[in-house]
Amino acid sequence: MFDINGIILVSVLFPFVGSVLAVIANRLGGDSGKTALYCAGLTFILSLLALHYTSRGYAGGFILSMPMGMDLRLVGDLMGAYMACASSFLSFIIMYYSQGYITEGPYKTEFYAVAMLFLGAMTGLVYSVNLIWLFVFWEITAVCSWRLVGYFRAPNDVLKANKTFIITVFGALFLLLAAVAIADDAGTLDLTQLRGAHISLAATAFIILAAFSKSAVFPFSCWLPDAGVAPSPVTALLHAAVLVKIGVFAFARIFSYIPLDPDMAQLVMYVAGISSLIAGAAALKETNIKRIIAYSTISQLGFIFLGIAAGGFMGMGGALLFMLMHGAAKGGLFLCAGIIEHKTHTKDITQMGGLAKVLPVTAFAFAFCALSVMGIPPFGGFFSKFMVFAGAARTAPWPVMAIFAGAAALTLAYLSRAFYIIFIAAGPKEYQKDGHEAPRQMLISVVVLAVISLLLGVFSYVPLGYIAEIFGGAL
Amino acid sequence: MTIYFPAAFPLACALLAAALGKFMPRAAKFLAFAGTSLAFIGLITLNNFSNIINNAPDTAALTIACFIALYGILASLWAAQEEESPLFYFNILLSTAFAVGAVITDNLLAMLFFWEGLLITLYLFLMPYNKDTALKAFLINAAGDIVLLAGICLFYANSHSLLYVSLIGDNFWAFALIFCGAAAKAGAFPFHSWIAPAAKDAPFAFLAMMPAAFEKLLAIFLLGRIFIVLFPVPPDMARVFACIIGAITVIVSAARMLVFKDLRGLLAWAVVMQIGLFITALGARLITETDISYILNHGIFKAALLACAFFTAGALNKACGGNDIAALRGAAKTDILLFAALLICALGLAGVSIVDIIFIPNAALIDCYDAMPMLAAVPAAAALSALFAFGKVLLAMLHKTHKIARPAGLQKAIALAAFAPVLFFTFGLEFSAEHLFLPHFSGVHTGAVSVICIVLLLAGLLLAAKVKQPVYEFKYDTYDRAKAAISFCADILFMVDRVMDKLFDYLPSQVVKNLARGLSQAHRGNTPQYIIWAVAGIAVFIILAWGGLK
Repeated sequence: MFDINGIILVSVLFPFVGSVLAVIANRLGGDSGKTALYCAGLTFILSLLALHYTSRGYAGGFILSMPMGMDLRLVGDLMGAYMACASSFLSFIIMYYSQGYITEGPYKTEFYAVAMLFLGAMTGLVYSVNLIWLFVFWEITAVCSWRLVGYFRAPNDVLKANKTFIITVFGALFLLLAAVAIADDAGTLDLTQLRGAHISLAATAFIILAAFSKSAVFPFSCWLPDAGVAPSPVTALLHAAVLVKIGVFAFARIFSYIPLDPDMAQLVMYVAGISSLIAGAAALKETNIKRIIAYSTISQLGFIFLGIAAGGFMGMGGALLFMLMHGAAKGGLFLCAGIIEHKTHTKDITQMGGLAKVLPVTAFAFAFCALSVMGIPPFGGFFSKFMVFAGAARTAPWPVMAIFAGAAALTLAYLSRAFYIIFIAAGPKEYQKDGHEAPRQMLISVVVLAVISLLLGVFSYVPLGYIAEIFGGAL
Repeated sequence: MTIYFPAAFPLACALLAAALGKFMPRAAKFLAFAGTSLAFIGLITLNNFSNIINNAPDTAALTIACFIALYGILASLWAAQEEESPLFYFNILLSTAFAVGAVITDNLLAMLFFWEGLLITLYLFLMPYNKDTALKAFLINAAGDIVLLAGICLFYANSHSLLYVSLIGDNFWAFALIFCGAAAKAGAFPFHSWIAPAAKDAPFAFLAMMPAAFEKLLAIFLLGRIFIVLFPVPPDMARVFACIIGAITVIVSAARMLVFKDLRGLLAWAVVMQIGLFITALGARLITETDISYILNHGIFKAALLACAFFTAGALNKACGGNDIAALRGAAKTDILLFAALLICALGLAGVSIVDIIFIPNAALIDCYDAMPMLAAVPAAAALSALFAFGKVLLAMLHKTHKIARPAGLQKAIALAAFAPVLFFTFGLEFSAEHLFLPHFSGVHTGAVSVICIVLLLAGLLLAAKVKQPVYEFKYDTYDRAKAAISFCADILFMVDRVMDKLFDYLPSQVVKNLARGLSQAHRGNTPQYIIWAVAGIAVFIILAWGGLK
């Protein structure tokens, strides 16, 4: 009924068009927020269609010929469609949440326009198989994140936005260097033509460095907690749904075509483990709710890297599942943090306490999402964590397993601590229940993500079925 | 999926209870009873049709699942008189569903899924009564789950399967981690410290159901699976390791039992002690390479005894207005049946040899003695402290100071019903290595070992008073120590993060600033630079004059 080639092209172009439409709508007196919401919704529907077709064996894409092998080549494969689906769905929920969060202000239209641009770049990136275009879309997200992190324009916010921009662009330069090195080695920039090819150690190292900086792995992780100065929907978009997943996805994408050197894989495991451990410890010590969740993101990204580096269906498949589960749960946590901040006017958890009575729905949503991140059944995080661990148990050395077991224990500790201090323990100030917990859109968004975190556990065979197909076989 | 239908009943009822509980609190009570009963009936049905159902659980699994469902029924009946919160019934149902699922499943991942799911109900059970203890219980058990998860992952990495039927392991670490995970979930040292604080505030229905019955039965079942199915020939180190873990658990709990003056606390530590004793005896049996099914049977007895003891304590608590020894005075006169039940439970838990002849096969003592004569001191110490601690309570109950109220009829009935499995096991059936229940009397152990132990017990009784005072003052909680250690490590790691953050904040700007300053000075020019350039130029000239860099 639909042409797969058209679906892929439109799903990439549509958010870019939506970005322009948001500005035009504002100029014409319309609502830029609603325009962006509809565009995000349509992008999600298109991604769902792409997933549907690719899972049934339809392959397709789009090619725009360019000189010097820099063709814009978008390939509609299952891995790309899976990731596009996850990103666009979370972006849609975040856009819906923003309808209640960013209702006015001088930068409202800019927010929606840049957010759509961001989604477009992400969709382009997941379908792109040319390293140069991967770099181009990667850089567009860096520019978008710079504008979004500095949304409030306070001097400190601008500094943090600059920091985010500099570190991620620094990482992108490594990707460019990797592309040059690969082109030099193999004579092509097209990943599909590189299948099974061996690349130089330098190129591998550059890709790893690029992925580490974009996905905030230690020592390039310090921009992520600082980016918490942005509004909650932005942090959810950057930290949970899209930006940090770019690095790991690119890493997974490239090394699904090119074999990863076993020694480099072990190095990745060690660095990711140390990053997870340090971030987990930092989350345990932090008192700023957004920084706690941001550190948690860094910690969980380490598990995703572990899975990809371990390889195979259990390892890489687990990592892909982890991206989905973590995206939903962490997005929910950030959005809950937005509601809490909205209510208490503080980010300091030591100033909170007993909020379960004041914000019961948020407390439930927070608990559900936290349990999923912890990997407690029947929530979604359980299966992804198990798969990553089971995959790693085959190839990872025992110190790596021990480090990640420690990081998993820290995950339990810092999320339990945060939940306990915010919602259960008595705080220094008594908050009163007055009116609604939060605007309807905000509340519905967190509930949807919390319920999805549970349903992804109960019906985990649905995403697992797609992942199994990526690896060429039924579950 | 067919095999999970007994677990589906309580799960469905739990969802209904959650939906209806707020509007119809009584519906939740009914649903709890109905859901657990349906699980029981479902298990019986599954047993009857096991020959035509694919991957049907073995008889041992079904029997343990039946016991789980039975204690779920008793807990729901008990709670109906005390608890009004629909959340409590939701928890009973969900716990029963998870526990039944964990036992009847045919693969390790599903077992972990269901068993770890109990974490949530454990937290929800305790949260309304003591928030700190709820968090503590959650974290301690979750730490045990991580150990179990790591073990199962290693096992999977070695055997490439998660189905019990296709598993045989030989990896020591996989074995050690699964073993430690199961022991930790059951409350062995050092994962035991949530049980005593939980017993202080939590309702008796929860205590009889979760720490006493469910967690114990699950641990016993998994340990049985480990030794019979997964690791038929366990590594040598594992045998000694089991004895050490068990012995430490027994000694810690035996010491703590002595100082308690209320029945709740006493039973909480008895729970810990029994799992320690079970693990020690298991290790001893493995050392002597004798059939371990006997000791598994013994473990199931003890779980039944503990559940029964908690229900009895609950009935007494209601009648006497507390579980303190002072409050229990005269209880024996008011209700002789409850006194008898508690007496038998106490003697059984104490492993008194004379009662063993009738009720409990005191395998632990014999096995430990056979494995290593020194090891017999562990069950002896356990028996000694249990006897002494329960003795205080029982003597107080016989005291004739004042008359107390009669226990509620239904509560008494439930307490006695909980006792039924003890009798059932004693005179009826035993758990065998072939996963069958064969008619078999428990057996009588006489001889030198028993005599020595009785003498030891009597001697210990006289000495116990001297040990008591230091034990009162001894306060050690692994959880608190672990918290402090983790906090210390987190401080150091956080410092590393902060240092890196500062480096990223200042290093690029400082480097760029200094580079810009240097280049600007080079552009403008000054005397020191001229000198440096001149010296460098002379050096280059000399090198080239001497033949370059060939």
